[in-house]
Amino acid sequence: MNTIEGHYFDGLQPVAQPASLVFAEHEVRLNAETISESYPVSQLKVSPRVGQADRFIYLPDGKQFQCADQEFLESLAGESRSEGPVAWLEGRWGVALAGVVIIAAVLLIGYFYGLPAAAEQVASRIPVQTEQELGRQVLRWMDKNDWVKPTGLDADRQKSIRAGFEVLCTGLPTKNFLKLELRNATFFGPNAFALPGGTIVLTDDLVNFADSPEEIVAVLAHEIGHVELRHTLRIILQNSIVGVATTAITSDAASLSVAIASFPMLVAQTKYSREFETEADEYAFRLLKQKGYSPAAFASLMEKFVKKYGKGDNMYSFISTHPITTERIKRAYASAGVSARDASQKIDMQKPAPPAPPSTEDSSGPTSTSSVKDMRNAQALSEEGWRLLTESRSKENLNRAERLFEKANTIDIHNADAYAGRGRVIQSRGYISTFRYRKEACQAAMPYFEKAASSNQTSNRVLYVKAEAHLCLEEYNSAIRDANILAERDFSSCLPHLLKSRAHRGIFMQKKNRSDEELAIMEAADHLECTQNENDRNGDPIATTNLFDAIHLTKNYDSTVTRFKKNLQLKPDSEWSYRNYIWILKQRNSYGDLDELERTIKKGIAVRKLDTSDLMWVYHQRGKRLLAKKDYRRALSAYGKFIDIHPNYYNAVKNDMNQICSQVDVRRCIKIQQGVIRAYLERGDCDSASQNVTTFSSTHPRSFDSFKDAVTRCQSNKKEVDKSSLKIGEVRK
Amino acid sequence: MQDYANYSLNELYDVYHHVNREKYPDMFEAVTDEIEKRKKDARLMNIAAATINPELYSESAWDKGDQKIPEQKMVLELKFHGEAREYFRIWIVNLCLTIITLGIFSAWAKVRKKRYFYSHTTLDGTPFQYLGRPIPILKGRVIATIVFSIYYISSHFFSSVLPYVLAAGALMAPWMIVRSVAFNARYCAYRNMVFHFDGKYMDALKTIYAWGLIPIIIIGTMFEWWGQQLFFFASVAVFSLAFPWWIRRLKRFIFIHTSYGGKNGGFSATGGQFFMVYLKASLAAGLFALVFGLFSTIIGSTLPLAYKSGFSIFLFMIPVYIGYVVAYAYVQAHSSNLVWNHARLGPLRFQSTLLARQMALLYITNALAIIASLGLLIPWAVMRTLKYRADHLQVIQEGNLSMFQGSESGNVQAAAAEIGDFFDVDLSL
Repeated sequence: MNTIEGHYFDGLQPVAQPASLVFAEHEVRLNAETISESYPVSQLKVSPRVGQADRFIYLPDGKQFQCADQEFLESLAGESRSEGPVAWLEGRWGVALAGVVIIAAVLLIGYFYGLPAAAEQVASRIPVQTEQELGRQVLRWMDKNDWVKPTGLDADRQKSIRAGFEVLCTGLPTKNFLKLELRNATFFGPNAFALPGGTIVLTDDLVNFADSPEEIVAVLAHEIGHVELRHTLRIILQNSIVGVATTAITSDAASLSVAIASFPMLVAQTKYSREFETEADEYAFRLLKQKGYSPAAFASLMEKFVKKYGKGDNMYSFISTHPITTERIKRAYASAGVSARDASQKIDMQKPAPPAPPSTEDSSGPTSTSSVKDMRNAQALSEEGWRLLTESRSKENLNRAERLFEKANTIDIHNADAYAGRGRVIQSRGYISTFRYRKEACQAAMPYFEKAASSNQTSNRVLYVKAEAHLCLEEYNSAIRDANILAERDFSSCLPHLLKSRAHRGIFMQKKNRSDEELAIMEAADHLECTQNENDRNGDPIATTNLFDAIHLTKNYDSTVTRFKKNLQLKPDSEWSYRNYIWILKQRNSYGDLDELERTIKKGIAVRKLDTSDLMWVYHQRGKRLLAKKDYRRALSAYGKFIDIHPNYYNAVKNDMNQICSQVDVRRCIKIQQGVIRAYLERGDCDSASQNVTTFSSTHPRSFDSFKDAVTRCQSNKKEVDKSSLKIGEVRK
Repeated sequence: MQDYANYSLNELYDVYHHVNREKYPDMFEAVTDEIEKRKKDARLMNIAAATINPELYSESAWDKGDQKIPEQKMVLELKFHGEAREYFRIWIVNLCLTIITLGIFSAWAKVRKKRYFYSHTTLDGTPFQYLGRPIPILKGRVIATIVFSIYYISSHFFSSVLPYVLAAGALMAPWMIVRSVAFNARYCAYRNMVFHFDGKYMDALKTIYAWGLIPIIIIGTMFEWWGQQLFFFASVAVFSLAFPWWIRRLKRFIFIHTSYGGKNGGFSATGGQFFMVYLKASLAAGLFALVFGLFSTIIGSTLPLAYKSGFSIFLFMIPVYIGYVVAYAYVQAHSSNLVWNHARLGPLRFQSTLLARQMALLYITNALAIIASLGLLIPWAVMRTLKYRADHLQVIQEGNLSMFQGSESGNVQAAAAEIGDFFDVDLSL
């Protein structure tokens, strides 16, 4: 006999009636205020145990009995059996602890290894085409809503970028899907991004931000990495799984603690993003090296980013989508095999560009019969010859180089550098001055260059010397063609610009047409900018001379002025931007430019510590011009500023000053003259001061009386100082 | 704090007798003050208090502080008994099994968790019962996964078919809402009687598409035409203004179609009341944004450049988050109060007394605890939140419970026997 107290519900009214269940052997009796009935025990069912909550006994006729949980209920038939084991697990702390460990392990392993690996597997099975529509949509959307505008780059710049892109794409599995889109997108700043489906968008700002075409190629290689490694699809897959998992785990808390899941989700997702960036970097370094570029260009671009936009924030790197920039730079240099210091090698003008390292991908092997060892020997010999050639053009040197080249060719009849060297020797014997050779010499050298070019291992050096010979022979179109090939082959080289500029100049001399004149100037400016390097203040004299020549041929300054002005706006941090703009304005030397010049120089001095000589030039020019216009008062103030910079300059414009002083209010002149003397005194140059006092006194004696005393004091002071230093000298002896 | 000046005298007594005096002494005090004031007013006006309600107005009854409740009117105690330690084990075991089975077990987990919540919630001493079974839930989840995958894949890779997918989804949404509300109602039982939801597809369609506003917005912005952008902004503005009325319609739709024991729910809150809640919340949020914006610009401009890094942005995020939580808590508390205080079910009405600042504090402490424990305190946070909400919801009985009339087919076992119906799916997630 067992009695349970509880409540009874008839299912017709939600009223609790106190009741009791009395268990006999096979029968149970329900006793309540309004009812008393018997049921067979086997037909009773009991609700599962849930914590400490009351339980329900279901009676066969649809009625219900509620009672507190008790051991006895377990002997009754359960409502459902399937949950038995789970309930058992839920009751144990050990199991809960194990659950925590298992969850942590599964999540961590899945997150760090499982999910990336699975996503990679899945991504590799889905063709790139499926992403293309998404990529197209995004680009169309950006175009339509003016996030990006059509590129503002000139056709040649575009062409060279596309050429570099083509070089990178050749031979890649996704070659057919890779597409380069150039856009002017001020919103994104200097940036490049890979859209799903293989479209790579490069902003004009980045093109202008990069100093060399090689840096642009490095960026493109990085973006190609994203496409090749299927990062878009993988990030979509991984992030959605992370999202689903995070939501599943925190779903209970979601409505109770407000957006709590978003932070861990963000942290988890950005880690993948950082990993992909690193992966794309590594891919880019490999690709660059394979195609004969140096990953150092990537580093140098990144360094500029750091300089301009600051370092990647180390402390909060865990919520950043990109890896720490300094780390990326370090890896790029490590990959390039150079230390950061000597990464910025300058390509010497006189030395033709070094041959591209042999490409590992398309080395189908030379068809010649000579062995690899012979080829190496021959190459070493011709390298030595080239070294001699660049050293000097002395007769012995040329002869020795010629012998070396000949020997190299006897070992390996296909050695292009040796052929080119022999041609170069012959050409060098007809050397007149920089870039000028006797025509006969060039004529004689040409067959060698042709032979070198037709050899199967042509280097950039060969192309360069051949182009130069074409220039010498006034075969300008051939020179341009060679320069273009060179530009495509070696993105970092500035020489193609020089060659093209000179070729266009040659055409212009023959035909006097405007388009070639413009092109000559443009290429010369390209060359100038290409050779300029922030670490080297001296610049390339040949580049400057070349641009000067191109411009002064027709005095066509305006296009270059606009160009350099724009550059200064784009790169206001670059010293060269200032120097180029100042330079070209000085070349134009028009009065209207003087104010602009003064402004620019002052800003340049403030921002980049330019020297003041240009400023003096401006004041002097202004003074001179105003004087010529007989605007004496303003001329005086311009000269006043000029003299302010150094009192010695008074002598330089003495005659002009006399002329001005005879025309304007004398007091203004006297003020300037007093200023000169004061400046000398401040500098301790007593002799110059006294000399000037005498000179100035001859015209306006009274105005300088007060300075006479000062001068004598200065001189006596100086003597004393001299004496005392003499004494000290004696003591020391 | 409630403004008791608006309460009727009867309501004031109601609060006076049922408020938890230890827990909410300030509330109790406010009610007492208000009652004292009215008594004074009544005396001053020389109206014999006794003529209104002699029993309640006798001074001696006041002093005892313990008043007999009128027969027809009583408070049914709603209590939540869940324990964090117990729920933690249930939660972790089910989570673990869900993860190991790649989500399949989640249907079983949902049943176990819901059953825990329901059976630890008692009204007048009787726990609620959750009768849901895993298989319909699993079916619902499979359907939801398929639907979501179609949407996700088409939005990412086949955007040309996306409009059709969205249109299909828009037509499906009312059905899904009706199904999930009906499922939850049908598998919730109290005293051997189940709830019932009789909302129909067309009703849901009319309700959720907000007087046709949403289809107009979707169609107007889907195609490219000259006024697309203007239309978009205008319709967003209109919809934002209409939003409180829309929410009211949704709540009303749920309440009036939910029935228990043959009695349908009633809902009397107006759109204007919802509008005031959202207006106040958005004004407060706007003010906060303004003050904080000014403050951070001042701080930002005085800080040296070195500190303007990710860290300071991160620091500034904290007040923004707090501001968001406070606004969210305000809306939650006040709209909850509004909904419950204007809802009826047969002889039952409800009194919700959630306080925005307590809710905000609850949310923030929950968030901190969950972050600090790497999620292990989620069960604790769930338990205390449910407890807080149960403690602030009173069920007031104003008549006989026998007004609810159950049927033979409406009891728990009959409902359970229906399981197996193909269309019996739970689409709520």
